[in-house]
Amino acid sequence: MNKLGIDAPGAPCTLASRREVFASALALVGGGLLCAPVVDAQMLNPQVPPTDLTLLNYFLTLENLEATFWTQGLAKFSSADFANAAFVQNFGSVIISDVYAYLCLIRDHDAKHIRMLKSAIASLGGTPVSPNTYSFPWKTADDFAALAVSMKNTAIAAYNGALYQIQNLTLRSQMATIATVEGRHSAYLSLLSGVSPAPVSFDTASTPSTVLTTLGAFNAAH
Amino acid sequence: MARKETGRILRRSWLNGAAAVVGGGATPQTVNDVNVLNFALRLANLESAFYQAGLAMFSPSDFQKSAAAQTIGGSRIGSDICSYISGFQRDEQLHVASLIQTVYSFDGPPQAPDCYNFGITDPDHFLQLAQTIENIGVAAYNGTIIPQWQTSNATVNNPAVQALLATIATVEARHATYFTLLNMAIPFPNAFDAAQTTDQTLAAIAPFLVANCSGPAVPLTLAVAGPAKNSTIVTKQTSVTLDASLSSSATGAPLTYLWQQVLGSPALKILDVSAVTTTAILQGGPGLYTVALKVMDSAGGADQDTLKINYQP
Repeated sequence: MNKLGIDAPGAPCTLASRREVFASALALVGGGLLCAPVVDAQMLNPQVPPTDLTLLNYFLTLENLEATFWTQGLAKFSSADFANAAFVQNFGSVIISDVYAYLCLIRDHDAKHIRMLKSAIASLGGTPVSPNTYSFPWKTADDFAALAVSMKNTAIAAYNGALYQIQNLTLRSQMATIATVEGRHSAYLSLLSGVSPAPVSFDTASTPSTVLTTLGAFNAAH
Repeated sequence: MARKETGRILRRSWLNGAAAVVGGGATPQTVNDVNVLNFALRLANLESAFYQAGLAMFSPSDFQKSAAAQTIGGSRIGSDICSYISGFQRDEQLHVASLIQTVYSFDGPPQAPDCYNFGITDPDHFLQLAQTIENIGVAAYNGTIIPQWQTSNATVNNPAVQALLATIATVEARHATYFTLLNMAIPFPNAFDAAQTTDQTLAAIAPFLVANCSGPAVPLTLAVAGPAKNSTIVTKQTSVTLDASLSSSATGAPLTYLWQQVLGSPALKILDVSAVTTTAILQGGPGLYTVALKVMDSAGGADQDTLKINYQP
């Protein structure tokens, strides 16, 4: 039984999304070779209020890294790896049978966030930043799941710390609808890690420089 | 909701939002930061009252026996439900306290809570309603509260205040996700959450409100003993933490605390009667203990709360 229509462990997430992910994985590798700058100097200067375009490219920098994280992780670990991982063992078959499909869904959501951000950047006349190359220190599905929680919490902190600076209010609302989905992803991953889905009463809000420093640890070049 | 629909609602919201109304309905109010905060406060009060009502009706084992917990199975989910929901109740109390403080910092009066009628019938019904109510909150933050939050007020140059509403919104989404999962639906069905206008939010909360009824005005000083006002703690230990940390003074005046055993309660010893957090040693055997908390602020405000401790070793 599975709400996403995936009925067997080991089945691909879905054919359509799989094709999409391969395509985006190739794009990520290609873009990574260019090693385009992802940190905008203006973004890091607290004296200059960032433009909407700068903020969109900041969010895209974050989502590019997230997308690579999920694409690589779900390529490396199979549904069986997750079903056998330590972190899911107390949850019973209903929760366990959905884990892989839900992780794939998180990956697919991040791909959609990227498409939306790129189109918003283009509509403002800007150029979307290219993904970097990243490396993630995971050996097991448990490592992946643990890192996934902190990755999602970084994304939440990034959106929460910057949303109020977006001047175009329709755009600000749209970015808020991404932030709360990041919150949903994190809640699910927190629950699986054995803590409350809402471990704190107020989520973190971080500055771009804090977020970019955190994410810098995953840049392969470093 | 499909992305396309969300986009349509957003556009409609901003076209029709010409008058940019918070509060909506018969008495349109200007959008300003106090009104935006009060709209968020209205939702936080509703959510807090909802959790309080459910936690007063159902015990941990009621939740464990719910159809939701039984269907999901496993050794973890059912046993955690009540403690996670108690945590959510605390989240909402803290959202209320923080929003009230922020309204005062903007020189505005905080809006009094509504009167509520949730019609909760059983634990599964509570879990369904919780999903609905939290999703109303998420859509209200995304469509109204966050975009209308101006923070252009010259006195605000504080990122913690500027980001406050966003840091609440993602917690609302976390709560919603948990209930969606318990209710056996996809916990994050869409890549983009819904965004609703003020009027849509008011229509959505209307079924839970008693018409033409307002709750008590927000007291300047609030005493809270335990996770919420009038809480009951169930314990197997003779040593219990007394926690008044959710108490608040809207004016920010410093608080003093006084813990006392209530007449008629079995005997107990309070280790530090004037501490914000202290320990009670239950000395009278199994039974229902009652402790009173008085909170005073330096400006002369005072409030009182009662905590019941059900000791069942």
